[in-house]
Amino acid sequence: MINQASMQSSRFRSLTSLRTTLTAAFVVLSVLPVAAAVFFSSQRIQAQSQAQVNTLLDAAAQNKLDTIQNWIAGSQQTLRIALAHEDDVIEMTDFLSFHKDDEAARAAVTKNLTDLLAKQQDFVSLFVYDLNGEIVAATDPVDVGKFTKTAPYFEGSLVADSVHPPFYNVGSSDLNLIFTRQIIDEQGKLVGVMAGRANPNTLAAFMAQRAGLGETGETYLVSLESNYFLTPSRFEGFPQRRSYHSEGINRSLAGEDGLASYVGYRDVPVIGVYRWLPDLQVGLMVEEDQAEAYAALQQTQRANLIAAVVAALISVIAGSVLAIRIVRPIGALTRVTQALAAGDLTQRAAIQARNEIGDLGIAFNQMASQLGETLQSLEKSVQEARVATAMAREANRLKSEFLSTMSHELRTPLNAIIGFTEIMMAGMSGPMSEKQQHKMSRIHLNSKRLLDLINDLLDLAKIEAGRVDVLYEPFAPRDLAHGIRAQMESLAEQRGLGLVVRVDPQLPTVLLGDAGRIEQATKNLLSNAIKFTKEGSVELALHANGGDVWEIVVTDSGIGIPPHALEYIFDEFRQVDGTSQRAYGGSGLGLAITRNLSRIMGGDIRVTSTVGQGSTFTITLPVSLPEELEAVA
Amino acid sequence: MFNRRFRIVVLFVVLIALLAGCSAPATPKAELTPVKVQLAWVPTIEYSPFYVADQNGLFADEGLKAQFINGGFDESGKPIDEIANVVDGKADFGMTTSEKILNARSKGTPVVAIGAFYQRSPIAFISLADKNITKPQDFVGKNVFVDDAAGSTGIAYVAMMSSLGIDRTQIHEIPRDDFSNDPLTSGRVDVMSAFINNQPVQLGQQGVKVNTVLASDYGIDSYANVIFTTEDMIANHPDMVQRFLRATVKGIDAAISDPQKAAEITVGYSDALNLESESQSMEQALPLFKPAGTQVGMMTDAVWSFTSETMVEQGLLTGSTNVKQAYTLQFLKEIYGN
Repeated sequence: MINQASMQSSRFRSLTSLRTTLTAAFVVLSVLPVAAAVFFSSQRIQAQSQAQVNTLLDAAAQNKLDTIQNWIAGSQQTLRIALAHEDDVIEMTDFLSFHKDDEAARAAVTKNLTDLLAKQQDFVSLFVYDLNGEIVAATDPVDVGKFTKTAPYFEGSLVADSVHPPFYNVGSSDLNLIFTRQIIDEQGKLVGVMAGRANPNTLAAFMAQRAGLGETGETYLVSLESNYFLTPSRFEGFPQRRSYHSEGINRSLAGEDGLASYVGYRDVPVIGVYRWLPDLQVGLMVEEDQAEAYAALQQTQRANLIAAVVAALISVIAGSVLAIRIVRPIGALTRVTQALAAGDLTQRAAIQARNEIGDLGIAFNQMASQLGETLQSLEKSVQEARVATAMAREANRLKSEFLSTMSHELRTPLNAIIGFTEIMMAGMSGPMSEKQQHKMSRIHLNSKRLLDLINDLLDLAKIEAGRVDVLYEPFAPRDLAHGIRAQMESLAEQRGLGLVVRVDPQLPTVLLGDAGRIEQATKNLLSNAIKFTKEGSVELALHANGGDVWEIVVTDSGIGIPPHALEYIFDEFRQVDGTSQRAYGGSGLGLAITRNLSRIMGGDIRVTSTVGQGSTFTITLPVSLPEELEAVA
Repeated sequence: MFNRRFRIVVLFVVLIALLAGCSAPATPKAELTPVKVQLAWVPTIEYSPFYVADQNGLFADEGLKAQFINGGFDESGKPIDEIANVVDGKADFGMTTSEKILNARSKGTPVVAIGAFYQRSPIAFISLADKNITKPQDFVGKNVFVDDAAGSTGIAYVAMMSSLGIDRTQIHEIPRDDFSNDPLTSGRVDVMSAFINNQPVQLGQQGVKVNTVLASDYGIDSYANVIFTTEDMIANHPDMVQRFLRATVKGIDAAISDPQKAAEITVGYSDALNLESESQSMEQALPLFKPAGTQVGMMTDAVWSFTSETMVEQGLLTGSTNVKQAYTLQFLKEIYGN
């Protein structure tokens, strides 16, 4: 579980790691300027390239336009010159007005027309029609007798001299491009129209010249009439007489001039210049496939793109390398730190970099060394302390053992002394004089005191040696208190003191504990209290204290204990001052034993005292109830 | 509580209704009105506007379902009278020539032309190229196949000759008894009438080069294929006439915009047609359907008057026939908004 979690966190962290961040930063910082440079240069090149193409197409369009205009002007001039001679005009008007059915007149006019035709190249045939539209004379005899009334140019030709929108002939499907000139007699009356049929291939020839345009470049004319092509497409499969549509065609036929990129009539994107030729009612188109027009541009852009990609790749690699170089020492440092944390103080960071990270490595190694030394000395101190403690504990044990052994060994001869002294005092070994008797009683008394002293020592030694077993048996504290009073009452009376015993009614009637030990501790306190009190009373109180503990409180009105002595009165062989021992007697072990007993039983002892007013000793003991009582409670 | 439940039920019903509305075909087309169209001849590229309109759903757009009845000859070999069929109610609309319309009118038959396919007469006089017959004057002294004087071709021939002042007695006119191209190729005749987009194409495919003299070049114009109906129909169902003509005019536009497609569609209407020749025929028909400066489907007073006058001159029509009643431009004007 833990492993998985740490793996997950490390995997997650790989996204936010320094290395990733640095690499990303390098890439962004290096790729962005390259991309920007490529973008702006592309824009500039595109603009230039477009301007170039536009200029080229525009120039081509203008060139075609000029060519067509010149040709129209020239052709009109030709037709004008045809009827320049006054004689010719008179002959023509006479014929039209008076001799339309006169074959001789027709022949003369026809000869005139034929001569004119021979002198120029603009027209392939000339013909003259009357106001009904009937052709009365023509260079091509087939035309004579034909009707032009339904021809698209007829109405216009009666109004003004002009070139007429080209149209496809119904019969022959040939392209007809007609120039007309009015024939006006001497009275200024319109009597007929002279028309020239231009070479239908002239416009196609103009458009076929594609100088300056690329492989896909073309110029063509498209008719307002049905959107037909008037000149052939240079591509296969696009017959002239079809309705062609594209943005450029539609715009030119709407009378607009301009340049645009759009999908051409071949369904291929083209860039086109369109012009409206009002004279011919046709649109002039100059188009080139965008693919070709922008081929150079696309090549440049492709090269730019490749350069940008290469630059980006290099910067990614460089960025990664740089990131690794920065991150690797940090990683090494991290591993060493982890080793140190795990307790391996011998690990050192192997960083050779001569930079800030190198400095960090050196400082880190110094810190690791110092840490090692500090830890070593600390460990040494702890070891020493441990040894000292062990030695002290052993010494104490030996002392207690020695005391216990010694006390026992001392008691045996002492008991013999006391026994024999009592025998002698009882006169069993013969009568003794008063003096002897007195001496003997002194021996007996001192022997007894010596025995008490040794007993106390033995007790203390036992306690300290840990040889005291504490019993847990039910006992009645009230009975215990009264038993103690019975024992101590006489001693108090000897000293002329009152002994008050109070038992808290809240105290359980039966408790679990070592009644003997409790009695011993209590008696110690009481005998001390009686010993150090000259007048007044001594009180023994048992308190329930409401909680987990109960208290044995001994209060006296004795000499009290000065504050500085409160610290050590519970130590062995201590009395308040060295002098008091003689005055009050006692081994000086009583309080030490009492405290030890209290603690063995899981309690403690404390004292409060005021010099000259008395002292209060309080033993606190844990309340331990017999099971049956507990169950009842 | 009841109220709320009721509202939920209503909501549900509305929702289901909406869903049903979505899944059902959007605005189910009202039942298409069937219209029968009596053609003057068997299927040919000439009728391609009808077929294109049919296939492109142009009739359906107008709520019509067109059914085409072939003309020509019936099973017993009798010529089918397209005018009679329309007048008798066997068809709602018909195709015929302007000459036949005028002829019918002169006999009191209440038919009216409402539009025309070819804007120029397709009538031509063809001859083998090596005979060098390039104009009507060249017919003099030649063997010329002449058609029925009451038919449009015969009328056009006579009109053209008389207009040019050519003395027909110097021409060896042979009444036409063969409608194939054989008399021309075999040399039995030097000149015969043809449709500019028909026989010249067939002969061209056979590698036979011909010269053509186009009647319309000499001002001989008539409508070779007018769309007509009865006066009753115009009076009682002008809306249907309008819709039918609108779909048909759109059909003409569609056909000439994509002549190849028009040929392909037309071939689908007859087993006798060949795509290659119909396609070429259509190419030749383009300037007939829409010569420069015209609107498709349109008719002019000038052409009707000319046809009428020509027929009167030739004694085919009594002067009492009012040409203005033979055709109406009201439906065309509605379409072109003028």
